[in-house]
Amino acid sequence: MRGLDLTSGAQMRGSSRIFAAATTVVIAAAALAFSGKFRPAEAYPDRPITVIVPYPAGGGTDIVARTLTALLEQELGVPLNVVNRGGGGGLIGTQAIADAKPDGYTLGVIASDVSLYKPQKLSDLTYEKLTPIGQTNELPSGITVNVSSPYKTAAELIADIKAKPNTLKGTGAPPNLNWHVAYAGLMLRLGIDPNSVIWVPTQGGTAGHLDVAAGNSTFSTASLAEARALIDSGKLRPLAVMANKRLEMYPDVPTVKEALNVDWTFSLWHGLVGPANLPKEVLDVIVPAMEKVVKKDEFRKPLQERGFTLVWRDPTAFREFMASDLKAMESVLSALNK
Amino acid sequence: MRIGDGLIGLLFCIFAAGVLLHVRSFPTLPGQFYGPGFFPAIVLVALLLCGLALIARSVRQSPEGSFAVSAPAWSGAGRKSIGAAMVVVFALLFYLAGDWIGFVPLTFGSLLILYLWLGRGIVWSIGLSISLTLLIEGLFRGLLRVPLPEGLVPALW
Amino acid sequence: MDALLAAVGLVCDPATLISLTLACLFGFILGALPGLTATMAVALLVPITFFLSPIAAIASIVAAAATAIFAGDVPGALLRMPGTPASAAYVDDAFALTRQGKVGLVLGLNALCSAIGGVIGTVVLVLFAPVLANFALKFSTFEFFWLACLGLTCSVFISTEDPLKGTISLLLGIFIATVGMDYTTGYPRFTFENPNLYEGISFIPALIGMFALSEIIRTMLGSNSQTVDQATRKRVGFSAVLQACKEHWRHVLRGSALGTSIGILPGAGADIASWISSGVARRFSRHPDTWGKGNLEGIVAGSSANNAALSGAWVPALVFAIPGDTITAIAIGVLYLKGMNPGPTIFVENADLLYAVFICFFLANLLLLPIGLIAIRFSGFILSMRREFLMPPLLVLAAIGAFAIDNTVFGILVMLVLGVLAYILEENQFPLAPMVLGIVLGRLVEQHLMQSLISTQGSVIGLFERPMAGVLGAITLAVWLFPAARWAWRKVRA
Repeated sequence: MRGLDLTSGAQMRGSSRIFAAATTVVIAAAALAFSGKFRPAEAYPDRPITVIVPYPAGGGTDIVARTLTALLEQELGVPLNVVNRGGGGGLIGTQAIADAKPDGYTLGVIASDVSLYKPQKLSDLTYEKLTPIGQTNELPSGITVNVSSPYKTAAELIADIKAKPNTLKGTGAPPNLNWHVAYAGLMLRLGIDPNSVIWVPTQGGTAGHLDVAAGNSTFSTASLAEARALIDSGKLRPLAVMANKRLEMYPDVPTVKEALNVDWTFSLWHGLVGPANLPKEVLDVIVPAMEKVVKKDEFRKPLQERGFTLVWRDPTAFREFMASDLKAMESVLSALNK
Repeated sequence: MRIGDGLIGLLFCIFAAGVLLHVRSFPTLPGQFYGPGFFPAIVLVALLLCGLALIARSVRQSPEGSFAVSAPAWSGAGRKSIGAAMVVVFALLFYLAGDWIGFVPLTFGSLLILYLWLGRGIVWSIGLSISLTLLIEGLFRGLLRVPLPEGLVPALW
Repeated sequence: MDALLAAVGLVCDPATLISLTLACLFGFILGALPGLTATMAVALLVPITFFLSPIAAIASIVAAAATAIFAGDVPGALLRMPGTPASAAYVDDAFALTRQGKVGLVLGLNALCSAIGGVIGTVVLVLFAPVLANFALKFSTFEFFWLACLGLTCSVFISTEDPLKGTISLLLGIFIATVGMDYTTGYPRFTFENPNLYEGISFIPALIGMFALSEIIRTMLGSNSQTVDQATRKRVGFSAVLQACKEHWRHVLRGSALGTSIGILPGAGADIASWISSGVARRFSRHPDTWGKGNLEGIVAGSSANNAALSGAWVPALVFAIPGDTITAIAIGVLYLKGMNPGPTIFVENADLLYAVFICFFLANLLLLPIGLIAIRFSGFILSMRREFLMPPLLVLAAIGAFAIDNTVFGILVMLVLGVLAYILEENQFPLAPMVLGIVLGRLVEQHLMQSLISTQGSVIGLFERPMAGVLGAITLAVWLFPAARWAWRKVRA
């Protein structure tokens, strides 16, 4: 094999050449690197913004983020690059947003899972390490049963749960995550021990609905949107929705308050945030832009098609909402894991 | 790197046993029959048994080589073994330093050094390294929009 | 009928056709690069679909996915580095054939079988989607558990030379799959407090490490640096490829059928289909000893299965918005975005769009043939280079591929650790195939086992209670116990 001849004078020439070449390269690289540092400051934003999505591409959060950023780009006049940073149930990406430099050029779209990390003792990360910019939507939980089951109302199901402890099966999410917490919170509000129902963990709401449709689990507390095709095909029956208002999609389905006479709502939600202590100049630009975007049809329609309920909360309202959300999650999870 | 079957079996046994001990510390929820350690325990026990079977078979069939370790491919290959080691080192470097040095310098550096080691001339190596770096950067950062860490060198595209 | 004509009109729109073709190109590049998968290709297309018409958007997704799955076969045959997990099932045979100079035959066969598998899958999709989807709904976690177990037994079929080492490989793979948060309690297992491992060891970086990195190390060591002698490279005409296909028609049909069926099951996609189809083909092969050295059966069975699975995955997706695999999980999101809501309405309200989508399925799969031809032309270029000189860029590509899944350098560490591990294992005659199967199916087996056991509150008998589960369970046990029974029977007779 042709190789560097290490036994002759060629070695001296060869290695000094390499050294010269390497030095040139390093100097060039350094020059390139530093050239970027000396830039005159302009009004925000003057260069592309990175938007971190803590979940894989194509999922619910991702679709919200991409719809939002596509329209925000037009308002702000700079490209917004969506970066998927999945892992750890959203923890990795959300932590990355919190750790980013608070200069307004790294933002993120988060989901309600952020209120679960601390109560689950996975991490200390909470909404407090982020700057809220605006909430975009909600996805309320629901109660769904197989169409061939005997329950026609939520009350009937609850009665049966009380009558037959440890027999019925509920599903919709892995333990201590979104729809399971929705279920547990409802049970606690009703004064029933959440452990009186066997919880079958599934990876995601759709898988949960599938288990109900296949006849294994009795009910699922995942969102109705995730079950829409199954409901419309007559395989599943929605009994209630855990929201303040009935869904536009299913106006005949009562809310939990109407059906069971307790105050309990639970929704998955999404919103745009930045790292903590985002400067006022940044917020003064982004918040109005975002408010404009979420009112546009091009934003509302795709999300509504997906079954999301559109909700806009400005930074102050969003922060309050996240605070109360965290408190609610803490109380449910501590009761669950006593 | 040839490791005697007996030794491999032993290593697996030790591994399985060790992890099994660790698994026993997994908490179980009061209402649940099978905790987080249930399934891994099944797998580890099976692994332990297979490891024992491997030791038994190896000692029975070829007792001399059972516990030997040799690396014929590595010791015989001379400079090539360094090349192979460099592959591992560069991969490690990408992991450890990828975020703060950036992928552009790492790509260029590893390409350059590997090509030089493989015996390409200096001019060839630099030219090839530069063009490949540009090509790869363009493909991933430009076309595929993969956010490769910038590190010291800002995006070329 | 008018819907069908309208559909043709929609497809023949230049924007649609151009998107389709570009998507094929895109899918090919991504599939051919080791580590970047068909799912990634589709995920990367999502932002672009914003600007496309509904039919162009779906057509792009279908085309990119189908081409990517085929493209994964190319580096597998040329460099022994599968471009996608689905191609890893038959990489040894493909590479051996290339060494024998038959690269045209291999790639041609890959392309042809992929196209046939995809077309058969599409036919099934078009004709029987609602019926099949309803059938798939009957599968609960119990049935999935037994199916996953059956899938695992295929690993035993693939490792007949040394079943003991094959089993160890399998167990190691399954163990790797248990890393991460437990399904029943969320307790993080074996994660060393690193959040990157909470969801387990990322499969794609592991695969890149196991196949690409270990192969790079091996090549740099010079252990397999024989370049293919250009003189022995036989020119194979298309007729030879057709001939080979006809000869193995049983495998093509069985592979396509298996692939489609596995695709229909929610959660199981092209990679599982490819592995299982190869395993079954090997089990029923008439020449089992030639496997790994250039046997065409595995290639034929696997290639047709993985493309068929892509089409099959759309059955539950279109009818119930339940993803049949990771690609359709993303595609469903795009369907919603474009106002084509999956479910019963799509067959009624959007009939013309739906038919147009089906036509695009056919087109995309048929396009694999000319793309395969181009790939064969290029293969000569790649093969003529000295293998070592391809390694440096391949190393960089592997690192980037491992990074790109979750945009974190942690993937590179996974790649490195598993790559070194795989290298050492293979040097000591441990087959890698069962390990891959273990990683892929291990998660499914545990997930469904735990879900089932929770549902029955700990009763193992309950795993057989549901009629279909009972049948599947009986079959699985029979398959497991049959060899042991036969061995015992022989001993008794002797």
